[in-house]
Amino acid sequence: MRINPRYINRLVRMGLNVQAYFTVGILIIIVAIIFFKGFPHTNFAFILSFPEDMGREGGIFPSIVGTIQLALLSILLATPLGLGTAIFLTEYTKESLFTKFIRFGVESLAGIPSILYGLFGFIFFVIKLKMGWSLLAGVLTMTIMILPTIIRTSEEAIRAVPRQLRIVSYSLSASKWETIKKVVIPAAIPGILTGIMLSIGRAVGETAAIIFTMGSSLRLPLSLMDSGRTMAVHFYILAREGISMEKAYGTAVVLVLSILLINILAYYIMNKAIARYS
Amino acid sequence: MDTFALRTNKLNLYYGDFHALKDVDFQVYSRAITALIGPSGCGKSTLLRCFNRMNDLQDDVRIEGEIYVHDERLEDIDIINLRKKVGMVFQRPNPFPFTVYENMVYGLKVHGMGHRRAWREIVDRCLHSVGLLDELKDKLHTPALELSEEIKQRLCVARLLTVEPEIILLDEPCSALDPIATMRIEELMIELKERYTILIVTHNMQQAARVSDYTGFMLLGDLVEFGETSQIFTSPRDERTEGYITGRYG
Repeated sequence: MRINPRYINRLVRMGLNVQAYFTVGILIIIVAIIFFKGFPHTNFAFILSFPEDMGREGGIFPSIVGTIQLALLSILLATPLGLGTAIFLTEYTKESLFTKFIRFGVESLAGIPSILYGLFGFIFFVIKLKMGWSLLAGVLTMTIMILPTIIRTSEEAIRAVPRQLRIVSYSLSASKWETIKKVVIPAAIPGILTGIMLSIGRAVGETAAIIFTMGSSLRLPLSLMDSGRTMAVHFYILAREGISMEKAYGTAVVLVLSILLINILAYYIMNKAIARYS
Repeated sequence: MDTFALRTNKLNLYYGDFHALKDVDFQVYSRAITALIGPSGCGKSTLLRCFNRMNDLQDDVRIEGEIYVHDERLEDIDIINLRKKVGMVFQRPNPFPFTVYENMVYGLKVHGMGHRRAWREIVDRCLHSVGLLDELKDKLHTPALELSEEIKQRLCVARLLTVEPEIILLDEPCSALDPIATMRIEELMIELKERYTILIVTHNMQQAARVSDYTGFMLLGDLVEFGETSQIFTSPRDERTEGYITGRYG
């Protein structure tokens, strides 16, 4: 029996529609629940004041600062390192066993669960290198964790730059490095920024790797050797130890809003970069 | 001044096992337009690319014989200086995906030429040389990729002029353009030959006949015939040349 293709068409269309709405629907439900439960507890005082009684009272100011410090510092470390690797892989090597090995290493690194990064960071940075639970140990662990994302997105962005542009640059007697610096990287900027933004999102949302390395001190981290906690860790501890569900949801609201803010900012920067370079 | 801006002596080029140029003895006169014609795959672009060492960018290329730029051996010239002296315009217009101004100052930046303050003047002068100044002087900060194909190609020529080359290599510069744009680029070439030596590779025989002073005909890696354009097109000495220009093949 042959089913009328028009009928199948309609069915497929409907199915795909449902799938798309399903994804958006889940997002909306999650955000709605968090806002419904957390928004009444969120205000400027909550954002700007210090926690009291293990977080049962007061605000989340130190964890906001801790989140920003962690994300910013690990991006500052991982971006040059990752971009450098990507440039090396795309511009300075030919496909060989060696590059396959590096790429395999990068992909494996991307597949490791974050708790293992936490464990490694704990054993290596915290214990072996005697950093203790500290912002520094957290940043270094997070850097290793986001490195694969930055390498892979940058590599793809660089590969997408037409070879012709490099040839033109050479014909204008630019050297290889000048060509990379002045043509290839600028043309690849939108893709590179995407990787950086994804990585910031990951750093902001991470808990497992952070608890083990940065610790969970409620104080404001004032130096690299201070322990501290990020919003995600704060949320986890409040909820996990039953300290205060209200404060946990309040934290979640701030966390979700900041991720939203980062995405909007990323979108804005990316559009500017695309407008300038394409 | 020497009469030949570019010259080759028994030039052979191999891509791996493929013998792409065979014992080519070729000259390009200063301040004139020399055209290279011939069917696809005859080696004319390969020959052109020898002069600014663009073939170096490909793997597995082997070159034998001598190439001279103004009586100086190609190997003795530093590659950066060579490519500054011998500029190139490609088949497809290929501005960088930046603004018009960024495109124009790229070469200046790379060579650290002049002061930032003097750049604007150089940009204006070079845009003027290609007849784009009026068109683009208010659009310097718009993306170059938004321009029409012809304007893009002119911009590429102007971008090249900023680094003050002596010799300009044109690799089928009009093949992506419509007939009117082609005519304008041809007029531009004729203006430019007052100050520059031009070598152009073209598929279009009429183009060679219209703009060039000298023409070389290539076939299967051989430079079959070289001479004044009027002679090549009216009384070719080699019957293969005659066959090509009368459209018997190619």
